[in-house]
Amino acid sequence: MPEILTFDFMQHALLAALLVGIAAPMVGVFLVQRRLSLIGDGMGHVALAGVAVGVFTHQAPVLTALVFAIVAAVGIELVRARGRTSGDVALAVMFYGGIALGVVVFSLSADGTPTNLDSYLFGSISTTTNTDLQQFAVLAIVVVGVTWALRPRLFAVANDEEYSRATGLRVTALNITLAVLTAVTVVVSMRVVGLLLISALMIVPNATAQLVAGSFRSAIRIAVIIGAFCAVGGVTTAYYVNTPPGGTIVLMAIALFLAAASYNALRGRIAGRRHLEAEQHEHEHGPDCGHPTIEHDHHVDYLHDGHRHAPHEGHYDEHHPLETHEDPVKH
Amino acid sequence: MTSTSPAPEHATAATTGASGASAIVSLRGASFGYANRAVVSGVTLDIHAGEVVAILGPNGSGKSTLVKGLLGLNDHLLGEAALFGTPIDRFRNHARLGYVPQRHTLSTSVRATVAEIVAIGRLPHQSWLGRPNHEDRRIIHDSLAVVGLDDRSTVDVSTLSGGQQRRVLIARALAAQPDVLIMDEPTAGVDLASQEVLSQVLARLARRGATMLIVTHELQAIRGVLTRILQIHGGQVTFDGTPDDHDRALGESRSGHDGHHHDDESVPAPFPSAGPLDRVDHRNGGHRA
Repeated sequence: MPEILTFDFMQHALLAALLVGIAAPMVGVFLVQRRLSLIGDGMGHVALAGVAVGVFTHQAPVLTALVFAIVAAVGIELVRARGRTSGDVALAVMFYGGIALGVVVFSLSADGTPTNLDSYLFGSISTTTNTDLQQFAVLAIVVVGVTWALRPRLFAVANDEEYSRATGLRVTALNITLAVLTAVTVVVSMRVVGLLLISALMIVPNATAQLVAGSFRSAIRIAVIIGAFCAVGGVTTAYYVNTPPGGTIVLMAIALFLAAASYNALRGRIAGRRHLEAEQHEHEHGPDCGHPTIEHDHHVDYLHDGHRHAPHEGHYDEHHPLETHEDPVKH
Repeated sequence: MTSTSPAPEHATAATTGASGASAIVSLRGASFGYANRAVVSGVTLDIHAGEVVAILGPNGSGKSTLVKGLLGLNDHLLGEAALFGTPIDRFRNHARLGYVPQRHTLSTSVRATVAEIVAIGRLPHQSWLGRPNHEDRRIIHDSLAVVGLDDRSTVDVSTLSGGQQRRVLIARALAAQPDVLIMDEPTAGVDLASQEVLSQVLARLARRGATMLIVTHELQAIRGVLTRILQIHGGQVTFDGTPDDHDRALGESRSGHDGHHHDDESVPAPFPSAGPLDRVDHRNGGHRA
């Protein structure tokens, strides 16, 4: 057994990291889809106030943070649902109020040492106790389960709210549920990643997945794999080089993002050289369009004034000129 | 009460007129609007299965408000409104209305394939833990075939042209297997080639006996498939009749008050040159069932 696994606290930390690494990107993809990438950050700020109140009153900080984060989540959704421009400012007040309250109340508490505050802000592997882990595990499994069950509906609502409403989906209820799932994820992750960086673990793996995936389904899968890999890899690295786990995890996720972005740019340049777009194509080919078709290599070319046009995304590509052994099918 | 479509081997869409004696939409002095302010008022009409109704009117006339009212997207303020015989406030079977909203682009914040977008239409038929099964996938594929995009089902929807994205939205509505399609400006803002394909799609749907309510500016593009025209002006229905009646009414008002400005509606012309999809001769067209 590697040395890292001989310590109880490291086993706990790695397990917690794995759970968080799976849950955070799963919830985060819907935040990306709704263009709310920064909302998790704000909830982290408010959760800090909850932690501080917990430390001050000698309650379990996880519990108080959960209460604060969930109240903030519901508040955010209600402010957003009203759609006022002042809502943006209201959210800012809520978020900064949260972090300010957190820091002040923390300093007033007997246990409120700067080290303790740091461990909530940036994560701390050595402080995850057995009780913490059990609570996190239950919460993380609930988050993953609920998100999985609601996935098609959350996707629908984030994609087109008006249409979803017209088909009878409970749009407001689903949006509040997503906000609460985000809040719970923030709290579950605060020990591993820290409240200031949790949002990154929700968003960055999804940003990477968006670069390489071909569908929403595969994007979620890739993001979860990246999230789990970075969380476990980050905690392990943090243990050996003695760095805060949160920062290590997020740097790892960002490194993967940059790698994927460079790969994409390179591939785009090569593909751009290889594929030739048909110029100014106003006609749309289809089964009834009357142009002869040639089927080859799992797609159809339409024979159009001596050119072979193959549908590609929203346009047509020029394919190689007609070869004699292929006979176009006349309609 | 309606023409049955020639040979749809399956009913992907609003193809069957089997809603019994009751009208699909029945309004008696109905008003719709937002926050207690009526935008359309005093609307009385019945729409029956098999009708293809264009709702015309200038911007702000209330034509979108009327259809959104039917969809429950705004407030029903006064009068009676019923869908399939159920008062609109108690109507819950939303999947029977296939909504094609007015969108210039689909949300492109994340990857989503064409099939994934169309699969949203199947949600009303799925349980919370359910996932698209074989039957759902067949319906999704068939819906895409109707709009001529079955070869693009795995493509990222944001790479499609504006006109193609409109057809994806029509396919999404079809996938719900609704009894009536409600479309908000399906042909607006796309180039001519796409508009032509879109009107072919509408004609194909009409041939299958689909009931449609089409809010539109561009009467010309869909003139051939219509059985009825509603004109809305200033929140009131100012005309309700067949396309031919509409032509006549327009002609009279033209000669009557010379120079009267007919907003965004172009001069009615004879049927567009008949392509294979433009024939309407097999439809009985009788909308006053």
